[in-house]
Amino acid sequence: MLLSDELRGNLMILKVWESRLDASKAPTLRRALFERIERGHQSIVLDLADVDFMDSAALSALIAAVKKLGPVGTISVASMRLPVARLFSVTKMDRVIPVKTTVREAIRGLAA
Amino acid sequence: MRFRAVERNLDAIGPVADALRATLKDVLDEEGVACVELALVEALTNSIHFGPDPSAGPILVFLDVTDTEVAVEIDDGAPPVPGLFDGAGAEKLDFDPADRQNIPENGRGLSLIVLSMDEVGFRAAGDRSRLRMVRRR
Repeated sequence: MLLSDELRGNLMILKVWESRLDASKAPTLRRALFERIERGHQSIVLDLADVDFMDSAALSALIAAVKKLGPVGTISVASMRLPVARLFSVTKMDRVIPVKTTVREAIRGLAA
Repeated sequence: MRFRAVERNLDAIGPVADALRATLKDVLDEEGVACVELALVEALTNSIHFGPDPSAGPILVFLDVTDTEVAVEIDDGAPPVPGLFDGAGAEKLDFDPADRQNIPENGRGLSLIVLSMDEVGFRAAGDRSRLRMVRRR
């Protein structure tokens, strides 16, 4: 799975260069998030601009990362396309994972 | 109409879903396509995780498009599971956002199927059983 990261101050922007996040990719996504959390990153923005499908398995990886971060850290998602936005809405994940229109907005939100 | 035969491994799901999306893009609106795709993927993932092992052969996916509905059926060689979707739905997806450590990581697949499609159930097809999922147009 193709990922890239960029550090902006204390904010980690993790870009997903995949069109699908499903059960076949969920373990890799989980490992990628956990590695960054274990390296001390507590504010992570997941850039999903290229993702046009996500399922409950990939969502499980995000939830696991939210739990690993605990109350101090934050994971947010940015640039969701309709299918991913719908998944977040139906599962109510937007109540625990902040949803931002763009990465820039997510950076502003986490920096505040 | 038989649409695809899917090998019983998770990497085989993506291409089938892509093919479904391409087929339905002129049939349903964007949200409709997203719903059917999600239901198919969740159902196939469940079959691969919990259904018969690969020795049972590929999972068969059927697609039927009419003026009024899109029907996707899956035959994974397993018998129907009565009550499989009992309790699945919006309530099952609820959780306390203030209690992050206890947010369930799994168990959303069946509810997502039910919430994405208008009808979900099993039907007999010869001596086999198919999971039938319908989205009305």
